[in-house]
Amino acid sequence: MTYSVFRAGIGGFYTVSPDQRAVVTSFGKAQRLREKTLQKPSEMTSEEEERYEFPQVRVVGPGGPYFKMPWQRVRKVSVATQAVDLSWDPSKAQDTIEAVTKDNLTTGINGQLRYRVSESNLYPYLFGVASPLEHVMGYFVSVLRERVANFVDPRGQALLSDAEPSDADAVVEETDSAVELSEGVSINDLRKNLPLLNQYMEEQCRSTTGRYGIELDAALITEIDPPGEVDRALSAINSTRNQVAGDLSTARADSEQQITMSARAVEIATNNAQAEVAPLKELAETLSQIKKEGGSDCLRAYLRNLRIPLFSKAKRVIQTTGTSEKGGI
Amino acid sequence: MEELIESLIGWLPYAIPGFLMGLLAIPIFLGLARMFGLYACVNECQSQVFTLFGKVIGTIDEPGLQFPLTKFGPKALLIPFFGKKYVVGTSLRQHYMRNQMVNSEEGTPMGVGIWYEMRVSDPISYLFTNANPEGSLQANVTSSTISTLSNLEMEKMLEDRHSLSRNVRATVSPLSEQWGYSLGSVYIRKVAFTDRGMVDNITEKVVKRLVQVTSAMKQDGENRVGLIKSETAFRVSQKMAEAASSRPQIVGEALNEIAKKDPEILETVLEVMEVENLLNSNASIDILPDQSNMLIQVGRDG
Repeated sequence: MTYSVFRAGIGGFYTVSPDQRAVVTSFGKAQRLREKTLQKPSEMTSEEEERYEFPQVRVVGPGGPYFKMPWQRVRKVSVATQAVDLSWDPSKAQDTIEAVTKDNLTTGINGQLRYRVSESNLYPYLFGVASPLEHVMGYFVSVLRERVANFVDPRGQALLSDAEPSDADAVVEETDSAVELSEGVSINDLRKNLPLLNQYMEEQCRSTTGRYGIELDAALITEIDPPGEVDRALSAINSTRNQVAGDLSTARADSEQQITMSARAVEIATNNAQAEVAPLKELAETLSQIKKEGGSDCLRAYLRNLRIPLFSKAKRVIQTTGTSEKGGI
Repeated sequence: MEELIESLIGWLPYAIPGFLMGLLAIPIFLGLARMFGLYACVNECQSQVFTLFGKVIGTIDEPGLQFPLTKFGPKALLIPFFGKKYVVGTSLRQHYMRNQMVNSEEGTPMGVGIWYEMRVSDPISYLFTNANPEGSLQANVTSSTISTLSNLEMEKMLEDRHSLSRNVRATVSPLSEQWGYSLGSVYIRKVAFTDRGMVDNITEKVVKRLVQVTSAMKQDGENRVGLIKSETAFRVSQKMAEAASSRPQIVGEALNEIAKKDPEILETVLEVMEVENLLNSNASIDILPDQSNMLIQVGRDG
């Protein structure tokens, strides 16, 4: 009696921390709410639903102190989000996992899975599945490798455009496709579409909640490591792309400079010509005024007057005798 | 309150020995009850198979507190002496078989990894039908995998693995049921090239393809640069020609304009400009009379 009081009184209280949930078993049996899980993920087939049928158990939330009887056991589990490396495999030590791409290249893949234990389906995690995380990893890696083997760039660009450019639009199209010449190389497609691959994996793994009681929070495939020589060839593509972009920028800058210079040259030549013409126009205007007022005689007189300084500058003047005063100089 | 404290203090000398007695007696009592099969605690996903005189008398797979006596009758009391209790876990388990060798239709040796789930569905068959059910199941999965995948096109093997996995499962499931196993999901988890030389050849092929892409990209860049340069040269030459023709155009227009108004004015303007330039030039000037033989005059004086 005394022992029972002590055992129940002192050993019967427990608490559940904020990141934990607990399931109490009596003589080994968990208290059930219903025999079947209410919600089944739509990703599962009816046959799979039958196979992964687990009861719904009563979950003790965070808080306390709670009381349990001596014949009851408390199974606590953390529901905080946790991370595991994609290469995690209890039966094999490895830094990366291998996968074969659509063009048969063997490449390394690495990343991380973020998961948490599903509070709404604790039974499989605690009782129904011997090693839930191993199951999740097995399922995930299988789906991932299958996807990698089938992966093509969704945009489905042609590798090399055979079309001959017939007009400006065709030239633009050709230059656009040239930038994407590396489309169709699986490793490149995969690297460029990593977010898409991650999204696909997350969608495919939604059923893990119903299957193993583990919710996939995020699939983060961060590295796709092809063999060294492929990586170098990909780097060369990148370098070439940068070099081409640089050359194009330089060519465009030179072009703009030359076109600007030539436009300025036109302006300069025009201004010079205008400068040359201005005195002509002005002089013509003045002479027109002189003629208007004094007629052609006045104009000739003006000219004669203009020539007078020539006599002061002349080294010699040859004058014929008997010439008229007109002096046809 | 004081009375309660006093009664508790008075109760203490009896409580400590009582606690120690309970600490020893209760576990011993419960242990004996278990040993004699008076009760059994069955955990979740667990089955307990009971045999007596070499015969299976029953199975308890309902979790919680169970009384074999109520299930099997008085003979349950003999189990601890003349029988045995087997505890079998029925939770979902998994196994991964690596590197099963398969040849493709093209004759390429491929390594296939098969991952499958299984759970004990019939504990009695599991325990007594087959001495090594796990090993037999593995052998069956291997054999089914090889027969399903052998001589398939390499591409199909690599890309259509999920439907092939379902075929493997459909083949193995009936056999596994015989040994008390129910097969869960089966996935072809890995299909890989086992021949190093082939892996290197494929890598080389991809590298060459990438080199080709690099060259094409470079060539395309050069073409585009050439196009920009030629377009520029064309536009610049147009502009320079425009610059060169601007003087004649503007001067000509001005002279035409003056001539249209009065040709005499134009003549005078030009004469005025000639004289002004002559004066500004500091050239040596000889003034000759009009209508005279200039050479005779010059020769005579010179």
